[in-house]
Amino acid sequence: MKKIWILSLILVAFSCSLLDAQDDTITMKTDMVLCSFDTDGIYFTPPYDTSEYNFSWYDLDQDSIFSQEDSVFVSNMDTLLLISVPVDTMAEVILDTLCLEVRVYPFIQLIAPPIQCFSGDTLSFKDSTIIYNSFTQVEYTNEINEMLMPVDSILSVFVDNGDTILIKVNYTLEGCADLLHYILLGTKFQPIIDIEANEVCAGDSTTLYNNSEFDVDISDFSLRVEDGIGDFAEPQDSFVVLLPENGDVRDVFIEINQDECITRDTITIFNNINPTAIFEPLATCENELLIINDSSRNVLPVAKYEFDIDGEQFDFDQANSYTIPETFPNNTYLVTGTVDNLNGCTSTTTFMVEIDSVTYVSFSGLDTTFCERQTEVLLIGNIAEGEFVESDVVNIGNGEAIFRPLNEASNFPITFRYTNSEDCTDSETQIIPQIYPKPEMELNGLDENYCHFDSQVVFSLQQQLEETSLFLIRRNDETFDSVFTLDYIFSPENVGFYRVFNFYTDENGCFDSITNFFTVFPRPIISLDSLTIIQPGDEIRLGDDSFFEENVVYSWSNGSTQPFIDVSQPGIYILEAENKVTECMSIDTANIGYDPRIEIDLVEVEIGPNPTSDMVTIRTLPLLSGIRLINVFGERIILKGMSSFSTNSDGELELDLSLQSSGYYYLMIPQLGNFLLVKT
Amino acid sequence: MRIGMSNFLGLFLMVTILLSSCDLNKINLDRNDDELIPNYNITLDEFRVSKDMQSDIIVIRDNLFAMAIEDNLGEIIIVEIGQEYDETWNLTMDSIQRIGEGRLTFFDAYGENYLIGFNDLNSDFHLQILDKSYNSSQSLDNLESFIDTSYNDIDSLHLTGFSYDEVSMDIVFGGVVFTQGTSYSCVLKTDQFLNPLYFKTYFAEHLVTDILCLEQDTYLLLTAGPAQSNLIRDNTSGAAYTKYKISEDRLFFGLQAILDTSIIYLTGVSEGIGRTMEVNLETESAFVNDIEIYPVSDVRALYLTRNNIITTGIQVFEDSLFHFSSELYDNGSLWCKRDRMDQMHRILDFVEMPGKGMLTSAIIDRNNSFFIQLTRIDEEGARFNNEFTENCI
Repeated sequence: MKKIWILSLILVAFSCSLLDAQDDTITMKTDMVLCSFDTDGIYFTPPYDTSEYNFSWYDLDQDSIFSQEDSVFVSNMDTLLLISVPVDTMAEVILDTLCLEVRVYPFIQLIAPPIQCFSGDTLSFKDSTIIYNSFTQVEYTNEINEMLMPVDSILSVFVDNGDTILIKVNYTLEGCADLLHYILLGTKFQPIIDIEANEVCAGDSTTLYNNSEFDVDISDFSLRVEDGIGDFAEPQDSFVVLLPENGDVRDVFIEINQDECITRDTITIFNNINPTAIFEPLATCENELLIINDSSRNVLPVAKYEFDIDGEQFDFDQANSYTIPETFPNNTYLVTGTVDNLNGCTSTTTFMVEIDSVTYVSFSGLDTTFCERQTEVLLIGNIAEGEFVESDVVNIGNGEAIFRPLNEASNFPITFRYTNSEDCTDSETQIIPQIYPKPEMELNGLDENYCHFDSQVVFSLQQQLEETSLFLIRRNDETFDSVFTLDYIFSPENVGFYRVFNFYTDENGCFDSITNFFTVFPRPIISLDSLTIIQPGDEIRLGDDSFFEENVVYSWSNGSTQPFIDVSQPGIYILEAENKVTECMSIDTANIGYDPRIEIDLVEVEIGPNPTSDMVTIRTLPLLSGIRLINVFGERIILKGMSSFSTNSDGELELDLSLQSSGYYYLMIPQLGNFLLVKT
Repeated sequence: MRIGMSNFLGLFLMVTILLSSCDLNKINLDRNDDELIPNYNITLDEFRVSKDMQSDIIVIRDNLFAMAIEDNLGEIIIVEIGQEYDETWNLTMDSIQRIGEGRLTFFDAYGENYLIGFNDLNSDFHLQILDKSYNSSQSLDNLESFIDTSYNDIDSLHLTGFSYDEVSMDIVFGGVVFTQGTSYSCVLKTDQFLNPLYFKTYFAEHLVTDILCLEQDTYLLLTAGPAQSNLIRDNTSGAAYTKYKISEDRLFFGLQAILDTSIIYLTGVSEGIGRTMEVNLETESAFVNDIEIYPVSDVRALYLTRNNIITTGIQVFEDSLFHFSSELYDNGSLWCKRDRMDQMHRILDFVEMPGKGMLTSAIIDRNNSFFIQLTRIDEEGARFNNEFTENCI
């Protein structure tokens, strides 16, 4: 715009030069928006009286007049110079600089959808209006001036069943007057079916309650139950039908047509299963529980049962039979039984029950402690015709029996029973808290065979009471030992056949015994001298060459398998002899050695002490002379004026070195040697 | 009256049986001053050895020796040691032959061959004859089964040495056998092909420390037990059996030479005194000659070609160890010398190299690792520095 105004000033200056003849000039500058429905443009007419002025129109960039009409056609934005010269020369010339802009209104294209039956969907219409510039704004509002927002030029509005809505569309063009349009959206009423049936047991009629919404006056109505059970063409508040079967289920079809808006629906009606109570009581004694069998029909699994007997109610879940948890005295009772399917349908019936009488029994004879296979008692019942029924009991008649338990047991029952003429049975059961076992008689540590002089062995009875544990041992059928103990120490010092009898009584008074056998076999007979001294070159015989024991195998440490060997060398010789039948073995050792005392002394001299600080004693041959003492330089040592010494008749010689220097000396003994003496 | 030696001899460690015909009173060493041969000792660092191994050192020729070595892992190997004389004494050591694994108990030459004995890792004893190239020509590996049947069931056998009877060409081995929980000194005799001939035992808890064939079928044993040591002469039939008591104490011996059937030399230690004993078996008498070095813990003796006895050993003196050598004569030591060697552990062998001195093989202890050390001494010992004798004490 700044550029435009600069050009205008230039044109004004130019125009003034042309109008020098006019006395006065009015200069005006005008900006104006021209609103047009025509996209080509619009004619602009100046606001002056065309009879009083002559108009000259200039383009800004042209210095010649392009029109002298009263109006000019403007197609777009343009800047014009209008010189209005009054007819009256005395009047003032008006010089207008006009900046004009043409704005075109939108071309409105709005089409409302036709009114149709209500479907529950929103109603939509498209705004196809053509907008020519950016100065145009569109606004949609409903009847309560709520702003509606289109999406991709499509406006969606929910219109309820049978309702209408007026939509206002306002087009705003800046600098121009608004354009306002209205669209009416609406639906036809769609009938609403609402039929509700009550719940009944089989045999009762079903009522259908009609809560549907429609205009009765202008609508066609139809309600039909399948299979011809019911057919209704006129609308009513309710309809009554009877379903023929127990637990019947049927479909109901409904149709309503209101002003060509048709609604159809199908509902299902039914009746609840109705039970039939049928019961059969079993024969029952007064000491028995009454059992009632169930034969009822049309009973659901969830059904509940109730029996009323003599004013007492007993409830059960559905089953094949029902045991009444109480006994009843001998009598006849009226029982009311009810089945409840828990669906609102029940069935009740009554029947008679007879309770028979019982003959009651008891017995005695169990007041003692029992051990298996040991204790025996007489059982006595109060009815002579009664009997005891356990396997360890032997009935002996007159209601009596002998009981002798064969196995250990806890809480062992003894039952006495009698059945009377009414086939009613009574029994008494007494519990024996404990039938104790016999003590387990296992003798540990016993082997079948022993060898003579084997190590001691301990025969252990794995029990607790030493004072009641008897060991009775017989050897070769004669009493060998008898002692009360749990651990018997046996030394196989006597060969023979042994029988060990153990008798044991435990703390419960239960007792038992066992017998075991074993044999102590003799070992092979061998005997070697423990130490034998021989001379080199001697040969001696070890072992017995005159006795061969049957079944005995000999084995010497030098590999020989004969009963004897001949040896000539020192050493330890070991003989093993084993009886292959009894596996008893003997071992003996012979130590053969040379006599160490047979020897020859090579040197017969004894000197001591050495080292010495003073005296030294020499013991050797008697009267041995020429003994000398020299130092390490070969110089003779003189002791007490003597440089040669002799032993006495006992072969002894004492030398006193106390005055000699410390060091080392040679004691030279003729024919025996030169011995080093150390003087400290 | 015969007097026992118990107080006098005490603990007498005898290591040598030597010979008789030498006359100690006649010893006169030649002066060979112009043949100065320096004394050296060299440790063979190439092999760590077992501290208990036993082997002789065998002079093959002037500059070559052979030994068997049991290394610290139990590998038994024959090695050759070469020596060179120059300004210094140089040794070279080569592994020649692997024998096996176990505990080496002896290796020595006999005739043209060598004999080696060892217990394997299962304690079974094996004997092998090696030819000149140290290849096994004969072996005896099932000794125990032979002894089990010929004598008794034994647990193990350890032979510690042998002697070769050049007349019968049989070999007599000595050692100890374990049977029935007791040990016995024992002798095994084989033919020259190691076929066992017989096995004899002697005294319980004794072992044969050395053995020497005297004449055909007669041999001499040194045995040591917990209470005494004995010299035993015996033959196959036992007819020659004679037992000589030489000590009441436990002694340890090693036979090294004999020159006569009636005179032998024993060497050993008794209560710290090194001692040789000249035994005359004909007169059944003995002559004792003590070494002037005191106290000693180990001694070996060698009968020199000049008919004299030289000893070598270990002296324990004021917490120090010395390796000493001493040549004996009628008044004790003719000369002696010693060198401090705190690592000395045990003397293995002592041999003469005529004209080139004596060679000692020993085991030394370096922080509980053990090595062979060879020491060469001038055969004239200390005479170069000390006219007659050095007071080695």
